[in-house]
Amino acid sequence: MSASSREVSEQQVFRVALIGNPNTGKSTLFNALSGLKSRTGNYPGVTVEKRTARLVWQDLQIELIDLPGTYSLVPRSPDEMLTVHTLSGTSDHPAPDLVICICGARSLERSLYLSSQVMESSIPIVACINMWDEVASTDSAPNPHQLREELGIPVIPVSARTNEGLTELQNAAVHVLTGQQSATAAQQHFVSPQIQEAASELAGLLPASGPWKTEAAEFLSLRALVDPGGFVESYLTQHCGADFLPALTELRSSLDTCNQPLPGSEAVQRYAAINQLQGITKAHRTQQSQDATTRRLDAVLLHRAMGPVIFLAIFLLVFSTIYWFSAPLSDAVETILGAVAGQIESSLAPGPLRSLLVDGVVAGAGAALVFLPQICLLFLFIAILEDCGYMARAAWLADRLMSFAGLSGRSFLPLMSSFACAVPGIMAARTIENRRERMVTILIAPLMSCSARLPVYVLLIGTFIPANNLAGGLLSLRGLVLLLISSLGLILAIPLALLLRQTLFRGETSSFLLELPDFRIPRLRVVLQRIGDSAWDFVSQAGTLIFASSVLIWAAASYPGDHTRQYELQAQLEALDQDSEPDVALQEALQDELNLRNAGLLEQSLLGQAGKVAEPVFRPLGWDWKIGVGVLASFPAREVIIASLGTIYSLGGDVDENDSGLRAAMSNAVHADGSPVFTIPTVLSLLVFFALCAQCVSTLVVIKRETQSWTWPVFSFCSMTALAWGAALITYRLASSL
Amino acid sequence: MQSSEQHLATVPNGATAFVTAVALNRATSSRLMELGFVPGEEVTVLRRAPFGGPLLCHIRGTSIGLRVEEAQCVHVQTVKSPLVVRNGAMMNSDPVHESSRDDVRNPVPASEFATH
Repeated sequence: MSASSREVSEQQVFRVALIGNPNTGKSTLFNALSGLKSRTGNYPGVTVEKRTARLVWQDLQIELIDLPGTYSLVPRSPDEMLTVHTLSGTSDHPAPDLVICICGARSLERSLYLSSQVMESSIPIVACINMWDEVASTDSAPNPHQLREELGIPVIPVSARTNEGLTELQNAAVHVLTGQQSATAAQQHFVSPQIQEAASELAGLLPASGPWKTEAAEFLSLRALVDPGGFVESYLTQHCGADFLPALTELRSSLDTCNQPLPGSEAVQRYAAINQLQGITKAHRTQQSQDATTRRLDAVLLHRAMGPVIFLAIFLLVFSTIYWFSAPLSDAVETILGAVAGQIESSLAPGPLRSLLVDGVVAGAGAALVFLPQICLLFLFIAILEDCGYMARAAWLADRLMSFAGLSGRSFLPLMSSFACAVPGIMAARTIENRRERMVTILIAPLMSCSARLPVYVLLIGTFIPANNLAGGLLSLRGLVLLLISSLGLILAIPLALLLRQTLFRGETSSFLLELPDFRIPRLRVVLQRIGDSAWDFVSQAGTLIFASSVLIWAAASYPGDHTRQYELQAQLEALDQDSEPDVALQEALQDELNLRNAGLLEQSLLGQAGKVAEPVFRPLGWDWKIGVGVLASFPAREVIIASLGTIYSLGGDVDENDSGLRAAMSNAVHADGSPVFTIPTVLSLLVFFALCAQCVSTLVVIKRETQSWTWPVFSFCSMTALAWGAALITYRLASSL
Repeated sequence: MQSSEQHLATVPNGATAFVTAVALNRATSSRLMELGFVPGEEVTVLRRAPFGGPLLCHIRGTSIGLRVEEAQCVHVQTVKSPLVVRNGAMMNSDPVHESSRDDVRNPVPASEFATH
């Protein structure tokens, strides 16, 4: 990059990429710079997707790109390869005009390791030392001026959490972009001249037709050279002639790597060069003690005996709190929607339009919105645990347990998130380096008891499980059943994961390497942002799907059928309600006729017919055709069963799991021979089915997106449905024989 | 690599050791080196997770959790030997620099930071 001033056209958009180690506050800096919502957390690997924001810095149009956190440019996962693709430029990911390297003030050497690799990409660089406020007054503070001279690039101290130094960073970036300041790395060599020469030679073999930009040829060659059999090697081999790989191998074997096989020798050389930098103080290099608060907290939270107990207590508390607090909040949502439905009923005469609005639209909105409190509460806890630094410790503590399933502590967060919703959980699995581990995590994530199952559990348990107290009032039987059914998926996931690891995903044992960040006080802004993001994601994605399917179910449950008499009866009943002294006997007679008529209409409907056709499949599980209809209707999203049970039991769709009418109707439901439908074995088999089935379109769509193949969502759906059916059958038989 | 050397998994809690070599027999070994486990580096074992779970080590200013299997790849010795540093590093690693680094300790005064 030349130092001469560059003409800047008004329309030109400069691409500025943020790159850095996990845990250096990269997402926080992205947020501080953009003001845009981006998920951040005190847990390595929170940025799982590339995020961008459009900004204006001193009249320059800027597109800011947040790249996933990585420790080096030796990619170990598709996520990390994305960074190499971006730096070398492809058609999908054009190379940025500037890279901002974010360095952690406490772990500067590790940050400069990555920065030194980025410096070889021929893209101008500005480095910033984040979390400067934490080291500014200590003797381990690095010297930015010295580093600027040694590295030849601007080095700016910033503190993204307090917005300090951001203006200086923007100024430095603008100066480099407009050519007022040079950002060309000094002739500082981080790898041996021999490797550099070999890389130049190899670059000559790369065809000009490759998707990378021409200047990146040497950078890519170096990356391929130091990582035998890696992602970059196969990427280049794809685009080069047959003579490329032999040439690469020969060049590689000619390298004198001082008894350190590649790619280890790259690390040795780079750290040796970084050790020579005078801008890093001796006090920084020799800091061997942890932050004092973190050390004291770790002594308790990671204690051999206390650690696991606290771990269990924290997660037990999280789930209990969600269960206790979400019910009144969901009731509030219901009350509001009930008022809306009442308003519609009082202003419209009974008819197809009113039925659509009340039983379809409002009920559909209700079916989606009642989850909002649970999702917000769960993400409140996840955000707090992540941001304070406990989540990484939970992964460390859980690693041994996860290793029994052939997984690692890294799978803990994706699986933990799946307790809220499998969709973000499956997306978070991208941070798992090992492909087989990632696939197994994705496939077992939908078994975790997501918040959408909770309403089904609450309805069935609250209605049919007696409210006995155990252990002297400390535990309720309902709570115990809820805990068991919520952990069923988790319990079965362990042998299933192991089975997958030994059949479809055999190979290399799992590994675990995770940075444990220092503890810090969770930031309100980050926590609120996280809750807002997840709530919005849910309402806009899953919520709309649930809403749409609710309306479709209403249609399938209403038609074909003749509703004339139904509307007449409704109108008569409502007219009676207006009387000051209604004729109670007449009212009851009309209501009974209406209920009978409703049941008849449902039986004739598309959904009712489908339920009857499928009844032989459900019969062994102790279900009647109405339950079958509910299960069929809940294919798009399992939580829909509440709304469909409401419709089926002639109560309209505007019911929730706490609706007394639905509970009463279900308790009173009888088979043709007069025996009750919802016996304990039936309820248990239904609970088990819903705990294990894959009734969720969103999850299946995300699995397709993450695995880049329709094979795995189809596999997931078939295997989980078979598992759910089998387990429900066993449950029904066992419970019936007791 | 001498087999008589200790590896990180044998270092007791609270003890400090110096990396002599990293065996590249696992996929994660090179990642260990990228995280700073290179010959000559000082590493402290802070604690171990219960039931044979991962270790917690402190290296280059950060705490890193790693499994026993990974720790076994990191060969260590309890005394620092400058010879090891020079063997491992092929750059112009010069012990004189090591001692002179004290003199360049020159943190930026707080006043210089973010005044706008």
